[in-house]
Amino acid sequence: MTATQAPPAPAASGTADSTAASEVRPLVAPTGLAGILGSSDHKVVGRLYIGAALLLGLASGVTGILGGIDRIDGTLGNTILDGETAPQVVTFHATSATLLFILPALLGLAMVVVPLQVGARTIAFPRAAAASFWTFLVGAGLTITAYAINGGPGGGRSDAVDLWAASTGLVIVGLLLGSVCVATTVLALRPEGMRLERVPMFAWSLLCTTVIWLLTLPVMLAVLVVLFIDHRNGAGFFPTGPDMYDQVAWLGRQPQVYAAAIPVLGLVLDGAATASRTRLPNRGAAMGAIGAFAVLGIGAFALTAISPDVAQQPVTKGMALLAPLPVLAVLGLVGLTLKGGKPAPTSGLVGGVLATLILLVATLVGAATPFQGALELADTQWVTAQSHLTLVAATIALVAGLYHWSTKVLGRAASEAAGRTAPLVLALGALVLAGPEAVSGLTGDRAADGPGEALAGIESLNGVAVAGAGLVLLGGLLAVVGLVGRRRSDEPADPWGGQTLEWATASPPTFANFDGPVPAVTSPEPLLAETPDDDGEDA
Amino acid sequence: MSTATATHDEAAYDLVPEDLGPGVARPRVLLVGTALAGAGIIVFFAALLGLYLRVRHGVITGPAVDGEAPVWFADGQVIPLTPANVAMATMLLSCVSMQWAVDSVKRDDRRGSFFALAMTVLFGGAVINATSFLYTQSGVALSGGTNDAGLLFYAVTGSHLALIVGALLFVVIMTVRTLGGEHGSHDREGIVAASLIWYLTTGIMLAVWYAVYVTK
Repeated sequence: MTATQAPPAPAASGTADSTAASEVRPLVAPTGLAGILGSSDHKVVGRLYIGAALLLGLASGVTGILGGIDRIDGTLGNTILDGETAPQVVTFHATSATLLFILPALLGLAMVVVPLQVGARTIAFPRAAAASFWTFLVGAGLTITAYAINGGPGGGRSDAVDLWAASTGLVIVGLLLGSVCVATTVLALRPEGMRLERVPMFAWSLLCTTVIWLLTLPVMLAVLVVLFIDHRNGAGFFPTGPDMYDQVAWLGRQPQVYAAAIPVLGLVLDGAATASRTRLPNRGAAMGAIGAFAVLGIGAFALTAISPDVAQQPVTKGMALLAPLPVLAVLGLVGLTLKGGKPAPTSGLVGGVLATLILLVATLVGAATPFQGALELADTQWVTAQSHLTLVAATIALVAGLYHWSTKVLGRAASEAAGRTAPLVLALGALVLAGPEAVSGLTGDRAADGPGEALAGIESLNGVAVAGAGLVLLGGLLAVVGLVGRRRSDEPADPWGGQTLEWATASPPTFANFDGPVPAVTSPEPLLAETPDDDGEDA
Repeated sequence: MSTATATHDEAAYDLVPEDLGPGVARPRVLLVGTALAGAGIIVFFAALLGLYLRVRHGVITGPAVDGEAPVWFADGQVIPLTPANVAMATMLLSCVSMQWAVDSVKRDDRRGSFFALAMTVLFGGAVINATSFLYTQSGVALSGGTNDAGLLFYAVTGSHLALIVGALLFVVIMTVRTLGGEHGSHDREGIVAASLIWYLTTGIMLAVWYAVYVTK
């Protein structure tokens, strides 16, 4: 893990001999396998996170489609999957979409971009960042192994169920460790003049995101600890069988699912300002909206074991009703930004706006769930539609981010055509997937993992939903293909005329991110021309 | 600033950029990271204790069983208070030695800091020993099936034991670094971070002691 660790600094730094020695023998970043397996460079670790998450996301998407096809007739385990496999496939899709795909992929993007954005020469605790990835990867591998040998919640093999609980806990530990690194980077590694209110919006959103993860994912870890001890010793505290999934399902449902979509808001604001080549108006409101949305994504109290009737609590209903407001505020600020400049339809802007619009639909769908009487939507497919919309919104934002920062993340310019098309396909897929689910939810069709009998005559709706899931997978594959792009010898360091510090370094960034000291920052947009509002005296 | 190069300088490995201006008063990196990790630890134990208290409340306020008032710990399951009190007192004592270590490092008293850190580690080991003894006396079996009380008892206290072990490792690492001269009056961040985690561990133990051992 420490193959890239530098040797001790010369004892007498500043002396002529030591200076000469360091000039004669410059340190070269290791390449090949050592450069991957042994690196604690945040860019390498971030790329590893993204690559692993995309592969796991593919597995999650395929299992989601398999589960959807099996459920076309409204029941599980009666068509292409047997009764024992079907619930496992559904629960794997539901848990892996968040824990193995969206969260690690966003964390990986954050690990690459956030230190660059805040002008840091490294991520905080680089070895811990590397350890977080390997912990995550081992946990993810064991989780898949557990499912493969009939584990997972409610699995038929007792040891494999234990393995699933332990490995999922390992995944969470890895994500928490990475969250500490990213949050600390934003809080403590900013250069002179970059006050917290001057942090780029994406970095701010990731600070909010990682803090919310730190305040909620440990609850999931606690549940898994109890679940592991319970199941291993046959105490019978938690229900066995498919109902075991209820204990962890809250992670992918409202309000906790919003914690996976907080970066959507930061990305669209950064993307709009960059594409418009203008300053973001009212940064305070933007930061407040992102922070408010983050607070509305705290869903740890929705723990089934502690609050079985959490959906009926006023705080849950209130959070659901308030969730669309920050998203609307951000959309308004995006509109003002675009109006104030001459926006180009970059992949970052197109993807960011589409992601925010889908997130808005998701929050509006979620806001309908508290109403009882006329609408009885709890435990129906309506809830599934809300989760799908939120997670696809986060996926679109991930794609937009990867394209926007492709020269920093991959060291090559991704195809702009694919960068604009893939989010469109993903957004279309989200609507085609969630629309029929919402309609069937209105008719009373229970969620895939919920109790109750299937309704007759919903085969066509479920069939359309499966087609939507296929579109989402297609959009994801298109995004990956477009990302490959082509490496050019004259790769521009800043293809967009960006305004934040990540665009001030080479593409791909040098090992230490910046070749020299980062100058004092005097405004939130340090690469734009100074205005009278900037701190001229700090420069 | 944007010229690509295959080489890099050693400042890239520093946790704090050396080019940070002298007038910039950023929070210390290790302290901030420790505080964030501490927040996660607090949430973890809040969830465990919340689960414990909720389930216990549900049982002891539930319907009578065979005409008798419901009890949390079943017959034969006894939570002895003496070893729990000893463990709690030892943990509180360890906070004194930990603060002594921080103060010694501040005064560049290497001998004093080593002695204080060694005492802290010794106290931590004693707490683990006392808790292990409590387990042998409690009569709460885990293997072969147990009730909710036994399950949650081991989940809460066992997780706290793991936290103590982790905090001890952190303290030991900082002890070694202090002895190696990395921490002194010029830079006490590491030892202060270790003390932060240790005080947090003690605070959580206080909550566990009251919720699990005292009120049972």
